[in-house]
Amino acid sequence: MTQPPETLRVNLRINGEDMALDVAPNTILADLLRDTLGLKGTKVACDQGACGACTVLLGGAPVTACLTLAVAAEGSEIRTIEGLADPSGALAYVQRAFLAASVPQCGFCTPGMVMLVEAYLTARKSGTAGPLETWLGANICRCSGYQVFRRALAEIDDKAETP
Amino acid sequence: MSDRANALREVGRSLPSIDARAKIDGTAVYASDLVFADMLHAKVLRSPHAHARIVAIDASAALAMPGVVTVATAADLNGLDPYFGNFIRDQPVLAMGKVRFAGEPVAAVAAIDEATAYRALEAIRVDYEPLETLATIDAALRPDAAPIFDRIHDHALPPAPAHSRYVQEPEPNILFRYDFAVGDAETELAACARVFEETYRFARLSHYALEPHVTIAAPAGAGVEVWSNNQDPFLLRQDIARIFRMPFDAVRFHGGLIGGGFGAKSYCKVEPIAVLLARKTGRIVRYALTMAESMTTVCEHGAEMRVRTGIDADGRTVARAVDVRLDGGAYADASPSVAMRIGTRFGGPYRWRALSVRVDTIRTTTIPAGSFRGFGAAHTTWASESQIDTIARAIGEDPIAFRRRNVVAAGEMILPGEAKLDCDYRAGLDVIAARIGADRPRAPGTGIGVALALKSAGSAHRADATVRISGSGDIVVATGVSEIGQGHRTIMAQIAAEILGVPSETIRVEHIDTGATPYDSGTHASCGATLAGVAIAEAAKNARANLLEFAASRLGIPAAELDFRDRRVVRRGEALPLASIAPDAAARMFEGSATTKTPGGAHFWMPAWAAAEVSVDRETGIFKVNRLLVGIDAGKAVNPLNCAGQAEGGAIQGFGQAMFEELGTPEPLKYRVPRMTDIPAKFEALVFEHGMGPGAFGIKGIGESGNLPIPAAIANAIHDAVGARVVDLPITPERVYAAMSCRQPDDM
Repeated sequence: MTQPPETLRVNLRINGEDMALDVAPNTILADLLRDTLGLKGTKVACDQGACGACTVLLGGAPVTACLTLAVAAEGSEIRTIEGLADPSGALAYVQRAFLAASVPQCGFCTPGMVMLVEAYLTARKSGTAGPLETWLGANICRCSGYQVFRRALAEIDDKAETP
Repeated sequence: MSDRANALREVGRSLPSIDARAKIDGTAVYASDLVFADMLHAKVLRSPHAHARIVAIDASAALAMPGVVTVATAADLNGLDPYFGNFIRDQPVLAMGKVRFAGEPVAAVAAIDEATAYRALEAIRVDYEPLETLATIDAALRPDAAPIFDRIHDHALPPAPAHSRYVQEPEPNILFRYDFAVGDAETELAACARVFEETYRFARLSHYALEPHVTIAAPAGAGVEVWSNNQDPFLLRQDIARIFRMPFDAVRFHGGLIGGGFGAKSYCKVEPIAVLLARKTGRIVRYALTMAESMTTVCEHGAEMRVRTGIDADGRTVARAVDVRLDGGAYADASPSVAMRIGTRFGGPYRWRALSVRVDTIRTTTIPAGSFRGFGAAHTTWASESQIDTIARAIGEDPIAFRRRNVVAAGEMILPGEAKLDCDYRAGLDVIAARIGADRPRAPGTGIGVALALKSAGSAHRADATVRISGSGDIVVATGVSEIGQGHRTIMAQIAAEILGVPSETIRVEHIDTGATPYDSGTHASCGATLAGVAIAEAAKNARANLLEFAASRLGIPAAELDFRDRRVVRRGEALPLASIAPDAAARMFEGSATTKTPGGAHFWMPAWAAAEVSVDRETGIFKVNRLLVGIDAGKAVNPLNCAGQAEGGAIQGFGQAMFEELGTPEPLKYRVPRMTDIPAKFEALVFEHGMGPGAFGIKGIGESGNLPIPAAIANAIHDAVGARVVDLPITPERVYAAMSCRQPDDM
């Protein structure tokens, strides 16, 4: 009854590695990352673009991977939570700040929040960021660790000149 | 005690969660992340009708589709014990002959992938004969309303608590009637100087935990092995064994990190569907819900609460009579226990000569209501603390002074025969009143409100624990308490570390495997740290004693001469590596076990304090919470950083309930939860340590306290600002405006 789906070739640079992948045109980026590539650090929660748990960086900008078609990322650089720490395992600046403040409760929003703050730090360098709390308003933490984020990020605002 | 407390090294440390690093670098594994070779994927066809008879189901077209392995319907439940429910078992694994809420599972598909399973759902034909929708309490109670059930169900209800009785399914569309009475409330009320009456409404809420429910079931011989993010693996083992008529030991549940729950992941929910499909196909089946489906699975009870409270001429609380109607939704889930908590605790932390509460749980053709952080205490606190405030203002007294005078003192009994109050409400109230500036004059349109909350914690629980010290000094802790974000694993490591004199970071805490992990009756009622903590402390002592006995016997000296520090045996200040004492020590394991049990009733009391400062625009009713304070009592804070996180997180959930949360369409995009941009600029959590907890080192649970007093504190602040009383949640600007428009002159 259903025709086997055609596939399309999509060229992506994921966490620094170039990949040419044949995907069905309706493949969602979150599924490609999680199911095809095994990058399970990106979480899918609401699956409607409301919560931001699946936030990854597409060309440096935060996107909800649950609402992004894999083919729409053609030619782009994608960064996920797995690509943030350096290969030796040293955590990125934002991750260290989150760890010191013990940000995660259940932790399901954490990778998306980490990526969001990473994008903020990049935007801040180019002077286009705007207030950090507005950025964080994009994602939901249902354990409501917002005050813990504030503590962690007060630190970032003070010190993160060159993250 | 204070000398000993001062000597604590690991208990009282604000170390980051032992799982924080993995959660931050993306390597933390949740049940949602598990993949098994060749596993099938399940999707469920849900009823589009709120109430309908199922005339026929035709799955033949779906079954014929490539990649579809099986379709299960009610016919596959033949020979099973197909109902579940916490106390009253009325919910079928798949709808049997009838659907009772929109979204109820009707058929389940197992296919090679989710996309195929979704396509198969579209090919299943179900003929429904729609019945009357009974979406509200009033609709369900109309004399001519269609009965949602036509029979009384099996139940496993515990004996009624003291001073109470209950009737199961007393009338059509009433699931459960609970009556609680101490003294003669009507006679006392008749003699009161003043009696106040109001009806308060509590909105249906969604848990909105970010990780949706997921279950993976694998056939294992005559039984089944299950990985799930349900917080009650041991209860689930019991349910699955009963439903599928398998021996207990043939069911093995694995638990790991859980992406939030707040009540949505307690008790049996979706797990039997995965097991049913695994048994039918003989293959591993993964059943992962979307968040919208999780929101369709369970919610918090909406409620109407008519409260009559009498005071004497000196402004003392005397008697209270309450009628509560809970919207229980279509199935029982945890409704009976929620109703019993509401009935028993409606007096809050005040003194009464008489208290009488009737709680009717009404069935409606809506999403079943179950447990939610606070287990009914959010409901009682909203109504009780709103009315206490109204009463104080009506008699011209400062609401803080009124509470101070009437609140139960530390060491006093709240209700006859119960555990004595193990915290100091007045001390907390003084701190929070000073902090919010309750004595300062208010700017026009600005008000300050406070609220107190009380929840009983614990019922009949059992927590076992094991601590193992290997011959090379590795320490492993095992309990059956689930890690759902509350920080339990870290707290357990800290308690074991304190006893054994090692850094908490060096302790390994195992995840749950019901085939090996010590038993726990469920991660409920904020009891995890308090109960399992005692068991772990004892188990750690026992493990150490075993190790020292062994060393002493090899050394030929009394064990009393030895101590265990920094993973080494110490004798008169000299450290003796185990290997030097006994060459075979490395191959040994020194184990200690212990059990904590509570008989039922309140094991300890969970108080909370809140204060809010608001500004209200009199023209529009739009208001802003400028400041929010919450206070909790940890008894002794094992990890102050973690305690603050629990208090703050709870308070923000309470803030969402106050401001905008109300479940309509169960879709993530259509349910408003708090975001960073909503949080009051000035927001502070105070973690009190009143030192009276029953746990190891005087600790007590805190998980369900922070959310409770927030909505009433905000409503009370609005009353303080503009003299208008909002009695329905959420407190919308429209409701504030309406309350201002109809306020009575003496409320001003």
